[in-house]
Amino acid sequence: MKKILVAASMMLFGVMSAQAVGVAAGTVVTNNASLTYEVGGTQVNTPVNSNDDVFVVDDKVDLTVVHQDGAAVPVAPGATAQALEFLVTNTGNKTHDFLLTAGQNDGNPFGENHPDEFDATNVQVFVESGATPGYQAAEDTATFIDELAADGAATVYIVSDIPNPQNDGDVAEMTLTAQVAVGGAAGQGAAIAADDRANADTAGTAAGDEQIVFADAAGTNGATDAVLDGQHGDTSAYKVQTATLDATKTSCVIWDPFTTTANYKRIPGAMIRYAIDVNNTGSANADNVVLTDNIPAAVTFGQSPAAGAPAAVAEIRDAACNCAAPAGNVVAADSVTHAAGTVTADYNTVTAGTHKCAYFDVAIN
Amino acid sequence: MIKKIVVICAVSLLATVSAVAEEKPSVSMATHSYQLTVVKDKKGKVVKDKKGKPVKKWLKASKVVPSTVVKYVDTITNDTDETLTDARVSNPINENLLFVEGSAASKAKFSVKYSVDGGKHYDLPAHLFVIGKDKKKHQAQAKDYNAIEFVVAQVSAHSKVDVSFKVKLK
Repeated sequence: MKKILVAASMMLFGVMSAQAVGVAAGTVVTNNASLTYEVGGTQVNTPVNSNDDVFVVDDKVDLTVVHQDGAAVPVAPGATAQALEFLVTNTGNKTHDFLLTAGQNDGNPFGENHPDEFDATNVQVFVESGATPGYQAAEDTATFIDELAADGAATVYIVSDIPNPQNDGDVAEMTLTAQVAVGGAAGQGAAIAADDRANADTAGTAAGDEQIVFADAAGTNGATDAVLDGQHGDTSAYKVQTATLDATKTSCVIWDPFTTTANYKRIPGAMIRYAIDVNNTGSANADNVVLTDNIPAAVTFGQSPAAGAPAAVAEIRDAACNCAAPAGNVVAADSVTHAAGTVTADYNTVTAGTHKCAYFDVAIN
Repeated sequence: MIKKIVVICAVSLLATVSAVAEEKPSVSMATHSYQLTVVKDKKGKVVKDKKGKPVKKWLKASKVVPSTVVKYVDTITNDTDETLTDARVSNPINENLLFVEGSAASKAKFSVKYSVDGGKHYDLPAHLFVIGKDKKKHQAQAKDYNAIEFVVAQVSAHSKVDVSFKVKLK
């Protein structure tokens, strides 16, 4: 006997959205079954339909905040409006607003050796407008994310000033926390502080009947928001990069009028060579480095007036000082000058991690 | 005997069947939802297995959100004096739902077939095929099923049989 089958009807109401994060909140899922059967070996060809079983997909509130900087963002002491970049993603199934807060933290997301040694100041949070990539003060002015659809993401910046002075390598860590808020209309919605997990299931039969279920994870990298609290946070960091200069002055005697060997002595008419080493142990280049040195009254800048004196040196080389045997190359753009008893050494730029040495000769009066 | 005649007559006399509704078998549907939940001890610490992985178990959920597993239960109620045989319950699977493989169940003797064309045709998994994105024919998988059909061998007079299956909300 040929069986008579009638497929159960299925209805679907409500607005569908992108499936990447699941079925949209408020979707009504309706289903029923149908039955056919035989009695005494005879097919009863009237299918029996069940009731419609209906439920409404609830509002799964989920979000992630992830820092976008691959390493601590280098900043200079005294710099203003320095940006840390984060991506806030709505991984739930409904459009929401997201409220944003920035806080000081010490989560050390980049494994720095000296995490969180200072606090940035004038801390603000702004949302990328999309007009020009990267933080633009004139364009990126929104302070909350408005109407972020399910599966949507927004770039957010923490913008701060860096105190001055600050040591090279100092780190300030900052956490961005996003709080889910009521969406559905332009403008800032109220924060959703609690969900409906503790409330009885209302099942619902129509869009709008959905209940709220927090599904967010705890914050990462030291962010203190808890699991299932409608918030998520992540941490990024500023790292000060500045030059750290040390200056060391040494001298050696290079000639005297009476000694024919190399064993010159510091006697009147003798020539003394000063070597002033500038060592940049910082992580940034030092620019416009100028050093002044008031030479003693007992000496005179330049060549000795005694007969046979060698020509005097006044130069800067690109290596650490070696008074008796200067190393490195003379840097033509750098200079050593003298005026009224003051020597001025213009090192221009001393690259991070390098030395320069200013050499100049004087004669003992 | 009179009741049996009435049911058989239903083959051609629909109006008569509706008039003796108390003698007609019925099928009803109910849902229960579950969520895969990380097990925690009384102190709130995550319970881990010997390999250090968190222990998870299905717990009844009061809300239905994406990834929640929903169990549909179809109840066949035979209020007649006759034994129903070859009782077929066909149930579409909503497009927002994914069938959970191996979840078809019943305490009664049953067989199950699936459909990938919305219930027009049912067959065993080995005989079901779909056209993939590569435009090639592939063996259908559980995620491709959009209707399920249970065949319960018999439902005794004045008894109930539950058949059930699970789906996961996309």
